Amino acid sequence: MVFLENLGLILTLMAGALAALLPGIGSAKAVGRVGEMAAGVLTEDPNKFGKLLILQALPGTQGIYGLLTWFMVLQQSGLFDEGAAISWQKGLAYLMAVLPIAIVGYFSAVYQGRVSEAGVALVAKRPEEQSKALVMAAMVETYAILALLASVLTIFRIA
Amino acid sequence: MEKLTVIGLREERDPIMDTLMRLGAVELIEQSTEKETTTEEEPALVPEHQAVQGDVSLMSRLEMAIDTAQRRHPVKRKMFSGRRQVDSAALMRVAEREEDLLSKVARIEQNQARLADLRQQLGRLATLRELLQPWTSLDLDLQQQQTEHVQVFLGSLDTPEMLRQAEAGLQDEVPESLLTVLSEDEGGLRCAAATLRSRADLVRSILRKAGFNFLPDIDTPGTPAEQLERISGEIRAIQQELANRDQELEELTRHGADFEVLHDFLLIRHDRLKASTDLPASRHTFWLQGWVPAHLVKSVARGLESRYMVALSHEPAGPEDDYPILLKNSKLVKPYEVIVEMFSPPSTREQDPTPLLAPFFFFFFGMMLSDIGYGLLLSGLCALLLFKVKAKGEMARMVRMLFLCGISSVIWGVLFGSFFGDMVSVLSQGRLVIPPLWFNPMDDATKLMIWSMIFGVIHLFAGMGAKAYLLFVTGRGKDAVLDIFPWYLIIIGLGIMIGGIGGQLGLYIAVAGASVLVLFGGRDSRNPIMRLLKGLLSLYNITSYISDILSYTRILALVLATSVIAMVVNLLGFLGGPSITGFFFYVLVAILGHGLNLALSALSAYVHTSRLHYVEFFGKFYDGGGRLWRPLAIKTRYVDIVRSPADEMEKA
Repeated sequence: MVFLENLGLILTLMAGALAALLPGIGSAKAVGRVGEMAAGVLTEDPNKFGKLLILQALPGTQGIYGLLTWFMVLQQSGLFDEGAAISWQKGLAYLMAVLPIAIVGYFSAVYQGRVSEAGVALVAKRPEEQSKALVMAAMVETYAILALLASVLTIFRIA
Repeated sequence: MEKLTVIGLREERDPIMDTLMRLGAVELIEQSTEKETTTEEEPALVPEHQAVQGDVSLMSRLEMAIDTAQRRHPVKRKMFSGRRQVDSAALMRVAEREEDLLSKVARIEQNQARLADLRQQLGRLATLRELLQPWTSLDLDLQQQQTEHVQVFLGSLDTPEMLRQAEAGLQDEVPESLLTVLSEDEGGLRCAAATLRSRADLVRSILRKAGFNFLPDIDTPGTPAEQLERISGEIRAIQQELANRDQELEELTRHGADFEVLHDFLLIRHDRLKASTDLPASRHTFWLQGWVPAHLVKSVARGLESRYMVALSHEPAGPEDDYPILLKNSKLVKPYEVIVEMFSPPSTREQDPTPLLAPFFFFFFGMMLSDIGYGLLLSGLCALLLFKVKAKGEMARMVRMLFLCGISSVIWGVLFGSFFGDMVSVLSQGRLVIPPLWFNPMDDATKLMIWSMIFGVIHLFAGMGAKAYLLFVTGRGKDAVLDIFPWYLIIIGLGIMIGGIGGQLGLYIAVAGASVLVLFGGRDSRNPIMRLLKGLLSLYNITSYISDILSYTRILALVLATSVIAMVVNLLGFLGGPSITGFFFYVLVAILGHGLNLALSALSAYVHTSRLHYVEFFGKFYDGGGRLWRPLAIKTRYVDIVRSPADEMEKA
């Protein structure tokens, strides 16, 4: 019965873990692939480092949103304060609340990475058009932001 | 923009082009290449074209030399410090040494080729020496491996096994041969084989089959000992030459700085020559046309007429002309031109949106970053780049814009009560809290979301207002009243309804707006039913307005991202508790964590503020599609040319 007593805690921790996990994986994938491509361009022209680094950093934000949600879950559920009891209903609610950012964050990161990769190719040929590559990649991030808002506002409501 | 036409004497063409480049105020209009060129002009043009080509190849040789110089004498440059400044007197001094410097470049090229050659020889000799080393005791002239009747083969076998095999093979097929072992060591057996010259080929193939490694043919006489001595001598000589050449190269490449200046001098000369050879000309005169910003026309005209025999005229650009754009704004707004130019400069039929964009960009960027500490850091870094490192050009404009945005972040930080997140309350362990001037977004996220959308509506209304203004100016005020103003009513009405204030007022306002749209939205249709249907359909645009407004909720997300990550950094850093080591650890984590957060959050703020302007704001009224004014000017690659004191005097 210890398990059932702690079910709320377990579900809440799962919610936090899920929020940090999936978008983090997506961002890692995307940032990695953009980095590979950028390194290829740098062999030809090392001076583009600054411009390409910014493009590489872009799909990293989903990972940050994931971390943000993790923090919100732990803070709002009172896990940072010692000895807080969490009912299983509440734990389940947190698990539901993180789903948008966990899933949308993952896919948004991967697809934003692909746009950024294309942006690297654009900057390789026309470095002056970097800002357009940035804005196009940022379009994909919109959906991660919307999902983040859905998750965070829900978490605020649960308490 | 004014269109300037100049007719001048051909002999003065080069100095005139030079002056134009120095003024940097004219964009030449390219004349169509199908100009009438009489045959007698052609010969005159040939040397000029050759000169253009010659300069290009000289420049690429100089670039190679500069690369070498940079490798040998690396000059440490500070980041963002921009290019070295050279005054024009120094430029001319270097230009006078063109011959001398070019001969140095040639010398560098020779030396490099020779160095590569020498290194290759050295490698070959070293291998040969290694090969001959085991043969030192042999007292036989290596070149003389044959007599009138006898052929001698020298070489080595790896194992006694192979020796026996070779001996057996020789015994069977060529009994009139001899195989002896000269010396033996762990490297193998040094052998000599002798046979009749007539059987030499057969013996050679038998030996090869047995794994006999022949000593390579050597074309100088002498025993192995003598050979080794000769080789050592040669190696010494080569090393000596290598050192000398290297020394000379070291000396020659000290002129890297001069090479850079010379390169840019040639680049300027090349640009000038190229611009002037493209100009249409008769035997004694030439003419050129170019775009000059209206406020510069007078000074350009004065600059040319005072020095040269020219006839010039200018006229304002007509509506049909495809003239380039030069943005002109007050000092505070100017930095934001970068944002507009990155999207697309205004076309000739549009207004410059920068003055409208600037305050909103300032506002939204600051709101997204919204931290006193981060704002101060950002502005401080930018100030450092501007005043200490003296960033130049595009970089400087960007930095100036970010400097202003940093100030905005400080203001928003005060409003939200955020200094490196919750650094103050963490360090004081909750005893001190910065009170927010407005409210803390962490306490009431929904409130910030609503305000984000309200600010977004104001932003969109400004964009729609700009569109309405443009319509009024171009005499289509009716369109503005019937297509844009109803949306103001609908959005305000819906806003009041959602806000739940004023009773039925919101509904009435929204319905009033909607009915104008339904009645007049399809006014270009004659058929009344079609007209009504089209009007109804135009209501569907509400979806695009709603998605535009919702897009502004990203502000909330970015505010939360910045402050929550800052809080995580503070939390992590303070794990050590309030002790000496704990604070030391905190400082370490804070520098790393807040540095990273500032970089990422500022990037996000920049990208998303840009997006809100490019997509939502510009979508309402601005298309762009113009072309920036690019004057014929002095362009350089390595150094910046500044006016020398002498020039200033000449001007005065």
